[in-house]
Amino acid sequence: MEPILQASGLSKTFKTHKAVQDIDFTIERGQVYGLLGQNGAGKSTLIRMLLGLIFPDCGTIRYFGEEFHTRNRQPLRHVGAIIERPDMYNYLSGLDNLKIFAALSRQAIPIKRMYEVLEIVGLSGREKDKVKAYSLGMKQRLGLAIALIHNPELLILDEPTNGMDPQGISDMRELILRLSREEKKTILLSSHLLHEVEQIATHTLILHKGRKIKEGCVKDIINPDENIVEIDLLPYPALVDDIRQAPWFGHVTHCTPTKITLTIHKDHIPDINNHLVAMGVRVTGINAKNSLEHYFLNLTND
Amino acid sequence: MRKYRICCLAVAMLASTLSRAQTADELFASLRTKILQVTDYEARVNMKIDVTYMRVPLLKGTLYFKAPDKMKLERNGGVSILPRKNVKLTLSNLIPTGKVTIIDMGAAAYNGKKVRILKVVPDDEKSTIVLTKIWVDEARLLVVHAETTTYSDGSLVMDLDYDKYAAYALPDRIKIFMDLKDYKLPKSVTMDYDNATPTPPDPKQDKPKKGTIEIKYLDYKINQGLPDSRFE
Amino acid sequence: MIKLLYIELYKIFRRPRTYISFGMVAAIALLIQFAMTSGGKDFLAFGMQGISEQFTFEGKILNGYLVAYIILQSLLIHIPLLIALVGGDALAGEANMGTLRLVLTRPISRAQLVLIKFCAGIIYALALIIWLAVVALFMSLLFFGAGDMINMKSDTFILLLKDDIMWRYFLAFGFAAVAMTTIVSLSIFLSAFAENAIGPIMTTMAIVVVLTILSNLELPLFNLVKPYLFTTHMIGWKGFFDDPVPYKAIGRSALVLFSYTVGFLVLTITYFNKKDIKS
Repeated sequence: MEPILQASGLSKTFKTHKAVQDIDFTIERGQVYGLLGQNGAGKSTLIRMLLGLIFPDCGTIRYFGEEFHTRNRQPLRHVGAIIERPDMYNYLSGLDNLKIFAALSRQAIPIKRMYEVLEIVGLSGREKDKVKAYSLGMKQRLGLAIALIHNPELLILDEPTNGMDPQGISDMRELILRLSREEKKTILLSSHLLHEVEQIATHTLILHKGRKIKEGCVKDIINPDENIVEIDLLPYPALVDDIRQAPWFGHVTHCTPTKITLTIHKDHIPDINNHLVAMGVRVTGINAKNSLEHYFLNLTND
Repeated sequence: MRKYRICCLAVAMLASTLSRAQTADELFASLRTKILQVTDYEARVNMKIDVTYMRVPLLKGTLYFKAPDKMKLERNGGVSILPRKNVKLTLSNLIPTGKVTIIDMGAAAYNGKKVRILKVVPDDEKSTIVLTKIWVDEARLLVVHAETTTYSDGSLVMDLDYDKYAAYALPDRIKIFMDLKDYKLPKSVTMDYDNATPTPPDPKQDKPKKGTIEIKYLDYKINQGLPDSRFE
Repeated sequence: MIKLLYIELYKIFRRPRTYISFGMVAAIALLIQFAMTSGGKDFLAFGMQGISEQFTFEGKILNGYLVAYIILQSLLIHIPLLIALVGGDALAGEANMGTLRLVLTRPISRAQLVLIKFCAGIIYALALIIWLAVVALFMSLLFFGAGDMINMKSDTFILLLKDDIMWRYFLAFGFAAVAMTTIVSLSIFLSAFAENAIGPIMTTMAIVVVLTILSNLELPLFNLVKPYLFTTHMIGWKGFFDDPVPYKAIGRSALVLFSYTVGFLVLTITYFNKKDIKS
């Protein structure tokens, strides 16, 4: 696979605070690369270094094999980005904002392309409205349109769902997936919403206190045996005694008359449910929790 | 005999003095008659102001005069500058129209020409002029130099040259020498641009500063009957 | 580069607050013109009382040229402050809006961005000066007519002939543009340090006001530093209304202002090239 972005030995210290320490990673064409970390883990500093906003103390960044530094910002011609809040020129229209960033891309971008990206992000018909009249979700979409305007090969999206409501988050997720699948974009996605990353990312890098603690394919990281399953019941006083003999009892981590929590492979859930029903336990709900989150919490829990 | 001689000498001196006083008055009367024949004029003039603290280019304009003392300099919409109000450039300063006392100061040479000096003292107590001394070219019946002393504005000295309009006692050139007071405005008000080439300081700081105004009369239109409205 | 400059100008001139400056210049000019129509003669009599004791002045002294000069004198402090509104906002305003980080993710160098902001600031300053020429000079000429112009310096009285004035105004406005370029570069320099436009705008204003006071105070201590203050040279436009015009001094002033401009610009680029954008 062709490497799109290679970071090597990136470090940054603000006064005495080591924000990012010795980070290496490679993003290959077609990947959706999730950057995970708690608040303050160094995700934003790392992304800003990748985009030339913050200068690393040491390390190198290569886009498409070409080294990126202060004097050579040309690789950014093929990169589009959203950085945290969707801040734009609020006193201008969405289309005006697009025109401005199109010009800054140093490429001849026809007006047709602008309407095209507005269509992609679902802002058609609102392009002439002033941005100050946009909702947060619309602003995020416009931010994505700006990132896409010059048809970049790599999209760097830093917290693209920040401040959005559940519907907005879902829409943005769909949009990113579509960009990956249909537009064949390589995407670096930073988020603290693990569930979102798990649903979108093919690969992930977990940062903790400025250090890389895990990198790899999401499928490999998520252990299918480590789903946290929560089963809600109507009150069953003798529950612990009655399930003690069940083959899955060894996976139970917590048990009350109204709830059983266990760590187990998803495939076992139907058997457990059948067992409980056969016992006369009335199950009201089963929830299988994301294991990436579990994995992440395990890794980052000091 | 000695007494007779003394008496004769005294009578002769008195007669001589009386004869000269009469001549000065006559001379003044003749001058006045000559000057008063011009009731008004309009003259194209060039005015050059040479004053330490003033930078004024050559001013071209039209000078209007109407007897006895109306005068106006018009510069086709431009700004005209004349010396202080109490000293008009009219010849009435030199040959006042009111009652005056004439004192004959005798003959002298001025610029190589023989002249007669007269002291003219206005009898009017309200006059701003203390006295005027005039140097008269008797042969041409023209005032060639004048020195006026005022009560409040120092002295004013004038040189007058005549040519084509000498018959009307109208000069072709007047040069006025005048005493000047200091001119100073606070820099905080004017916010001067300090251009490193300020007006050179006057070495005679404590002495009164002198300035000159030179007026060249290019042509005259005499006695055209100028209306008073021209001077409003 | 031209396209980027056009975009920058588009951003400046699409903002309503940009026009506050134009409105203020027009308002001050019109107020002075109005005041001059009613009380101009008394104002002149007061200013000329020293010289009027010795000379009488007749003719249209209160004319458009003089009124324009009085307006320019009054706006001496204000125009730099209005320029600071845009210059101080150039980088800090974008940082505050959050657009700076987005702009800097595009393939343009930071030096280019500073230069574009600087050029746009100059064009804004030029537009303001042209507007000043229209409202201060041409409208004064319309209201009061043309005439010879008197210019009273602290120790000199100057009279300029009517036909010898317009070129002086053109050169004076040209010099003012050079001076305003220094203000643009100063305000952009301060703007590079801040994340909010208020700070650099206020700091630019404070620097201009304080240095202008120092430039005008007649105290021996300040006289030593005056030649090195850019505010001392910013009033070089007045030199064109002197007689003879002190071209050498004006040239020197322009050189000082140009040096300040280049200095501020180099410092801005040097600092901004190393600045981490955390906003």
